[in-house]
Order: sequence, then C-alpha cells, then structure tokens
Amino acid sequence: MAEQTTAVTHGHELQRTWELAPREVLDAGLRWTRSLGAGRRTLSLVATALAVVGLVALVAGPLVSGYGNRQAWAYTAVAFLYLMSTAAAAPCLSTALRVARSHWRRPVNRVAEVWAVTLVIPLVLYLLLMGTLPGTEDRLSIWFGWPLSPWLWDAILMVTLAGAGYFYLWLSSLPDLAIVRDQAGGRGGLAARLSSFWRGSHLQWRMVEKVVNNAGVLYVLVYVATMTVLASDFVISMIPGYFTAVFPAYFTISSFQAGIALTLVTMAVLRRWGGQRDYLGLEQFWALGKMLLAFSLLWFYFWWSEFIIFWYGRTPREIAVLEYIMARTYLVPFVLAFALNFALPLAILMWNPIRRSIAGPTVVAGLVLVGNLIDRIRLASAGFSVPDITKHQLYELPAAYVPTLLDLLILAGAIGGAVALVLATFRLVPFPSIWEVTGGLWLRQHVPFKHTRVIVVGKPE
Amino acid sequence: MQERHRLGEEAITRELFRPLVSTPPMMWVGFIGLGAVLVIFAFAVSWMFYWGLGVTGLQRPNMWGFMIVNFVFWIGISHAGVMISAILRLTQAEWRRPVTRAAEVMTIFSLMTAMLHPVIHTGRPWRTLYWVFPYDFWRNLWPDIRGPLVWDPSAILTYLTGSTLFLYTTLIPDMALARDRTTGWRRALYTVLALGWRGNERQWKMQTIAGFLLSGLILPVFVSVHSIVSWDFAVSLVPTWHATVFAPYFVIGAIHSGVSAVVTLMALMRWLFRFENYIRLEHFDAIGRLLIAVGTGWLWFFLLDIFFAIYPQEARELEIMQFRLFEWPFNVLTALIFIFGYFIPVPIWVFQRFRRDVRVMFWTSIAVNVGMWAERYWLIKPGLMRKYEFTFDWNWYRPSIVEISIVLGSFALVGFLLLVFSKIFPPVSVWEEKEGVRFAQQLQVGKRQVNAVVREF
Repeated sequence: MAEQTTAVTHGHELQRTWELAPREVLDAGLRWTRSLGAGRRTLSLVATALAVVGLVALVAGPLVSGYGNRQAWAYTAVAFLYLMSTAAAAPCLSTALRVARSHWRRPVNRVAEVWAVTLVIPLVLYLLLMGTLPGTEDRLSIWFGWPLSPWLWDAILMVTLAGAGYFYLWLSSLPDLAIVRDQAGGRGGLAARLSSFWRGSHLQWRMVEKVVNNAGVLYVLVYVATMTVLASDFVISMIPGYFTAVFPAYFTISSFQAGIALTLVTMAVLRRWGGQRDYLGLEQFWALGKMLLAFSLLWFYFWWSEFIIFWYGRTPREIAVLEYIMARTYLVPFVLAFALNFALPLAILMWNPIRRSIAGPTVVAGLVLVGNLIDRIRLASAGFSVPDITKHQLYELPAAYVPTLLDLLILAGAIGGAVALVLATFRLVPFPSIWEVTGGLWLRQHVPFKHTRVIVVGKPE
Repeated sequence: MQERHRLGEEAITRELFRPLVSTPPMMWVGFIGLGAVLVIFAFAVSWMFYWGLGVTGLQRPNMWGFMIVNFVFWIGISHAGVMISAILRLTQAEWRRPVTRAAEVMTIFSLMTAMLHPVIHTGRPWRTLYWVFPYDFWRNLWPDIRGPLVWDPSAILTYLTGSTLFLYTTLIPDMALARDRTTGWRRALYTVLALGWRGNERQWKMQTIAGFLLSGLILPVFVSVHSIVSWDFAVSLVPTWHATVFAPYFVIGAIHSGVSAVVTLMALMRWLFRFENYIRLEHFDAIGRLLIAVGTGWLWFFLLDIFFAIYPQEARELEIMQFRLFEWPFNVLTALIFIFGYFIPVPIWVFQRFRRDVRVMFWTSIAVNVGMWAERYWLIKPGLMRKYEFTFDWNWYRPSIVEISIVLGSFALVGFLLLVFSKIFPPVSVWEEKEGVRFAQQLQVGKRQVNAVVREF
C-alpha cells in the first residue's frame, strides 16, 4: 500500500492516512502502546519530576505564608484555571468535530480527548482552593447568599465535569482498549479491566457510536456551566465593581481557543517526535488552523464587547476596573495577552500559505498557550489581590501581585503533572484511534473523477 | 446525502425554473393577501407622515417603540443568509445547496425592511436626507462618529452591499441558463444580469473564488451589524441596557431567529413549489441539529444577561428587572420567550423523528420567531418605560393601530418581495444543485450502499 500513488488536487498532497490499509492502522496503534521510546520515557520522567516538585511547593506554600493568606494562593488558582482552560477544554473540540461528522477529525479526536485524563489535577486544586474562597453571605456573587455557596455548588460542578470527562474518554477508547486486551493474550491488565464487557457485538457498536456523541455533548454542557461559574467565583466576584455579563462567555470562548491550541501543539509533538506523520498531516493542521484563527477573532470580539461598554459607560466604577485589569496595574500582562491571543495569531494566520502549513498553526498554537497562561495569571492575580471584596467598587487600586519561586513551581508542577498523566495514558490507549481511523478507511474509495483520481468518502447517518 | 433522487440535469433545470413560468394558485393567494396587508401598511405610514408621530403610542420617555423593536427583529432575521450561506459554503457542507439562495434573498429583503423602520420612525423621512447629506462643512460641524447611531447606517449599508454582491455572484450562472431558455423581456433582463457568462473554465474559477472571498469577508460584517445595533442600547446608561453581554447576545439571538426563519421558508417553498426532490427531509434534519446548538447558545446568553443584571444588587436594575420578570405584561412575555424561544422547540428538535417532520419544523420555527420578537420587545421597552428615577417620569407604552399596522405590514413586505423574487429568479440555486449531483457518489460498504461525496481540497 505504501507504494500507491497519491492523488494530487489543488496543488497539495493528500495525506497517507487515506492510502493505508486497516491492518496498518491496527499495527501502528498497538506499536504505540507497546514500545516506549527514549523520548517518551525522558519526557515522562521530566514531567513526573516537575509534578513532584510542584506538589512539594504546594505543601510548602501555606507553611511559608499561612493558609489564610489569600494572595499566596493566587498561583494555585492560576494553575487551576489554566488547566481548566486548556486540558479540560480540549475534549470539547473532539465533541464539536464528532457532531460535525468531519472525516479529517478521526486521528485528531484521540489527541483532544486524552487530555480529559488530567481533570483530576484541577479537581484536587479546586478542593485546596475551596478554603480560600470567602462565603457569599456578605458580598456580591451569582449565588446570592445560597447556603454553602460557592464551595458546595462549585464542587458539584467540578466533580460532575471530571466524571463526564473520564466517562467520555473511557467510552471513546473502549473498542481500542478491547483490541489491546485481545492482542495482549489475556495480559491486558488495566486495559482488560476497563474493557471487560466489550465483545464488539452489533448492539455494542451501535451503542458506543451513539452514546459517545451524547457523552461528548454532555461534557461540553457541563464544561460551559462550570466555566461560567468559575469565571464568576474566581474573577468577577473577587474584583469589586466588575459587573460584566459577558466575562463568563469570554472566559469560555478563550478556553476553547486554548483547547484547540493545546490539541495542535500535542499533534505537532506526536508528528515530530512520535512518528505519527501518516495520521497527523496537513489536512488536520490546516483545518484546526482555520478554527484557531476564528477563535482568535472571537477572543477579540468578546474582549471588545466588554471594553466598549465600560469605556462608554465611564462611571468611576468602570474606570477603576479598566485601570486595574487592563490599563494600569496589570497593563503588561494585558498587552501580552492581547498580542499573543489575538494580534499575533491574526497577523500570522491570515496568510493562506501559513495557515496551510504544519509549522504555521503550530507556532500560533504555542503563542496562544502562552497568551492564555498570561491572561489567567492577570485575572487570577487581580482577583486574589483585592484585600476587601465586600465593597461595591474599587476605591483604591491594589498593587500587582509578583509571583514567588514557590508560585512558579506550583504552576510548573501542575503542567508537568498533566503532561505526565497524558503520557501514562498513552501507555494504555493506542494512538491513532484504531476504531475511528479504520472506520473512516472502510468508508473511503478511490474513484476516477473527470481527469483525475479522487477519494470518495461515504457519509452514513 | 442520503435521500437524493437521481435526477438528470434537464429535469433539475425544468423543475427549479417552474416557479418562473407557472404560478400555482396558492401563489396568487399569497400575492393578493400580502398585497392587501401592504396597502394597509402604506396607508398607515402615509397617515403617520401626514399627522405626525402623535398618531403612534410614542411619548416621553418611550421615544422608541414598535418600529425600533421591529427594526431589531428584522436585522436579526437578516443574519440567516450569511449564517447559512457563508459558513456552510466555507465549511463545504453539502446540505447547504437548496437553502442558500432563499437565505441570501431573505437577508436582503429583511435588511431593506429593517432599514425602512428608523427612516419612517423619524416621522419626517425627507428630513433624514437633509440630516445625512448636506453636512454643515462650512460651519465645521461634523457627525459625531463616537455615536452608535452613526455606526448603524454604515454597518447596515455595508452589509446590504456585501449581501447583494454575494447573492448576485451566485446568481450569475443561473441567469445565463435563464437567458438561454427565455424570450422577450425576460431574455433581455437575464442577458444583462448574466454579464456575458459562457460557463468557461476561467469564469467558473472566478465565480468560485469570488464566492469564497465574499463568504469570508462578509462574516465580520455580519457579526458587526447586530453588535452595533446592540450598542445603540448598551452604550447608554439606561438600566438593563448597559450590559456588556448585549453584542454577542444580540448576534446569537439573531442567528436563532434567522435560521428558524430559513426553516419556515424552506417548508413554505417545499409546499408551494413542490420542491420535495430538493428540499429534503435530511435538510430539515441538518438544520434542526444546527438549531439545537444555536438555541442552547442563545439560552446561555439570555441567562447571563438576567443573572448579571441582578448580580450587582443595584436598586434601579433590580427594580426594572422585577418589572420585567414579574409585572404585567412583561411576565407573560418572559414566559413566552422561554417557552417559545427554547423550551418548546429545542426539546422537540432533539428527536430526529421530529426534525424530519416538515410540519413540526415549520410550526416550531414560527414559535421561535414569536418568542424572539417578544424578546426584542422585552429587552427594549421596560428599561425605557422606567428610564428615569422619579415615578412622575415613568410612562406606559401602548402601541397604536398605526404601529401595529406597520409591524404586520413589514412581514407582508418581506413575504411579498420573496414571492416577486421567486417569479423572476429561481428560488433554489440551479447550478449548485447540479454541482451537488456531480459530487454525489455511492459506495458499497459490506452489504450496504452508502451515499458519499467527492472530497474537495
């Protein structure tokens, strides 16, 4: 099959996925779980070491500055919000692509979904942060003084999200886990336990194909609800006078943007160092590059929708908020976030040849990931630096919070832990997704069309 | 697509050109019925021009009433064209083919109708020209470009120009086809409109590129138009209007109502022109799925707007929100918006069985637009009625028969224009249908025949 000629249309090559035989996909997927290269091993070790260091910093932090010092928890909140905005957002991309039934998404889905495995980290971070969140009886919040708010309700959402994420990841990996189990000759370990009931009957296939979409939709709905509440409880209600209805939408949309960026960067790493060139090609990078451009424009739109209303309103309350989070105290992080999340992605991805490349969208995705981190640093630091959040507006601008070494270690540890979990999951779950990619291959056929040869892909209901 | 009938090119041309050459009886009923309402509309507008705005229900502080609400509603409907046409064209969604033309035309007619409202709302529209054109350059008076009321005409006219170009670009091949098959005045008209189209490779290439470029360019304009309309309200300090969420909330609401209006139009076209072979159940299914996502997005913004209006616990906002939510007639409107805008249609659309039922889709799409009209009224009026702090400045707004006639007339105007359009131009894009047939293939997968499309790169 490798010797087959490749159809050329509109000046660029079709990627090799469509030329492969299902057997080759199966072999590639199993090879991925069996052989752990030196690169993956080293990266796993580094990531795990970072996670351990972060854990130590997380324990040391309160010992140094006291548990009651809310400002000292700013970077734990940053780590929490950053993982929620990136790793937790990536599975939403997979759902959107599944619902749209695009064929190019087949190898991408696993890349996006696997990040759901990291949800345990933000869940633990939230449980730690819960104690730093003040009650809502004597301050403004969307809970209007409900009992046990915000702690219990946020916790319910976080647990639901984590449950939905793990369920989605498990369900979408189920047929592949069964393959790993069967190919291991009864020594499948965790894969065998996770797929013990799967026999691949017609009924089971129908169930998994239907339920996986619904599980994804459920995940997205819970994710949007959770981000709306977190935006309110961790940022809006922490900054007196920050009365904005669009911020939860901005927070969620910018998270979707970062989720796409994370998927792109992961794809680039898998392609460059993971030997997955056959599955992650120009088609996927190009398509996701377009999505990233669209979300960068949306980033600006949602930011502008808020800014223009504050700018025109010009009440002292609005001016104080603008000065605090954009124009004075957190001016530098804001400018950086603006450049990395909107201006540079637009300036780079607006060019067709760059968008239609592998390096272009990858570089922009890297910029967006950094931009999103800076944006979350800006927002969480601003929220955790106001000494009295019971007031109706900011009468004095608090000073900007400068991170300590422990803060940076906590952040690095959270990111390292997430990477380590993903790498560990990839020991169990094959890449590419065998059932999805081969499912696409069964539906494709090479047919002559006018003067050329094209690929026809079936679209069953 | 799954239920495609294998039709030859000649059959497609004949069937899709049928409305141009024959007029079904129900079309005459439409012309006469809508024409009658238009006469009432014209009379109401003339009456208002003659007697002045006193014949409307407008009075301090309610200087914006039904006409502005209707303006916002029609701007919203106009978003369907771009939503369906440009986005689906860019994403190469196959099911767009029978829908795009009607959606684009609806954009143009609803935009024109929307633009009519602020003009007649001035009461003395000829003075609008005086206000616009002979600017007092000699006195160094310039328009205040910081005001959203100046942005409005710029955005809407740009959108109208872009949409018209967009529609026209996709009409050219069909005009050439009509030119080659007609005689008399029609032939003369189509010859001019076809711009010398011969269907050679270069012309097709240019047409495709123009379509893609216009799709990409018009998307930011489409978002900006309703955002700017929302800022007419939001940049002021009127309680419940001064909300940061207004721009995206208005846009998603516009898409919700606009795409629903496309469903209404699809059902009507299928019934009136017997287009069952083109506007198929799978198209209703696909657009129904799209509407579930759009409707849920709209509900999210709707709830954000309500929650964050209450959140600051400011007396004035709370007072007006209470008025909006719990006092007659706005309490009924609140229920209407929730029920018609979301809780009836969306749960129904979740089931494929209902998405494939034309009658259900038709009535649910009507329900959405009833809810969305109510929503525009609900958004605009309560804040204005209680704009000022003191009770002696409060006032009720009761629309007069003149305003009600204008609102009904605006629906008749759009309907009438759509009927006229379908008598002159094919309401479903003929060349796109033929292209779809060319791309359609069938695959044998196991024991099943699976319909397929050629992948384009």
